[in-house]
Amino acid sequence: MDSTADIRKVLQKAKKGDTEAFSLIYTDYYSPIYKYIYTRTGSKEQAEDLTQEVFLKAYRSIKSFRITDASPLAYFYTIARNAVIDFRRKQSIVKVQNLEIIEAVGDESPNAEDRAIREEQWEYVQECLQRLTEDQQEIITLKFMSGLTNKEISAMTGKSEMAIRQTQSRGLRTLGKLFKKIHV
Amino acid sequence: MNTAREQKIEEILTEALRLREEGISESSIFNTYTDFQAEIQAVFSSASVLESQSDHVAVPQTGLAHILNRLRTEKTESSIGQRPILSPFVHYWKIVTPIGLALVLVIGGVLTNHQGGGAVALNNPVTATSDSNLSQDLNGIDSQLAALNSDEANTNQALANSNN
Repeated sequence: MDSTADIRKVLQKAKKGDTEAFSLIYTDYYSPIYKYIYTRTGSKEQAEDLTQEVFLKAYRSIKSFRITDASPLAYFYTIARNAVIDFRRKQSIVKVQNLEIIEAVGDESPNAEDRAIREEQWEYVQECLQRLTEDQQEIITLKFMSGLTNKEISAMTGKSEMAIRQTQSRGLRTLGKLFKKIHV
Repeated sequence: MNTAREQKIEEILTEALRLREEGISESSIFNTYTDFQAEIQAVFSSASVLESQSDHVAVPQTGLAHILNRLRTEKTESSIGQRPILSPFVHYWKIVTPIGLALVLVIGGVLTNHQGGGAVALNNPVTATSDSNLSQDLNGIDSQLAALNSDEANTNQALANSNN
């Protein structure tokens, strides 16, 4: 889908029970939701399972979804966020060491060495992210890895945009220091 | 570290992030806050590293068919009027109803026997005879007591006469 207007039309159809419309939403939103969950859980299997749960929950509750000015994607992120919170509640320790090696999709570089470097870098970034506070991890992931606007994050988290920017700046400064140490 | 400067840095960084989100170029933000270029640069670099990582995640597509199958199953179930949430209750009542009915019959029977038993006993000839015999026995005892009392009175009178 090309624009937010298009996705809203599709959402209207999905609200009426059109499964094909929902599959279009799935195709568009699967990737950002999966990435968000993967970054927050550090596990490929968990990310796949939780992403599926997110779409099932979204489908079941889509009739009560209100189409507003905010991006419909924020609605899916809210469900994803709650899924991650539940997951983390169950997992007392998130083992950064168990992070999966990521295979790049659409990676234009066929060079195996480049790919290995990027995979290593991804792991370092994940390690650094895990050292931030929960708030910082979440807000920074939503903003810089999932590409949500601060307005959307504000709607999801209930925090002011100012507070969100402050959290971002503190988290990014901490990350900057950590990146220096490990030469990212 | 100087707290006032630290606070100022935080304000500038927050503002720099706002400008970046609005699409203002990084170079013009650096030029606006020349005294804080190093701090802004560090924050923007971290943001860029994260943004570049976002494309590195492999997204599996195998889940789509699985989800659509589950959705179709749910849709079919709801369309034939068997909402999944009701199923456990339907099965539950299928088991509970016969058991409940049997219990009601058994308890009802016991209660009927108990209450009816009392009523029958009152009209039972055997029991009535027993009651009659008991009554006769009691009457006999009363007569014997009266006779004993009479004997005692006579004895007392005889003693009194002999004393006189």
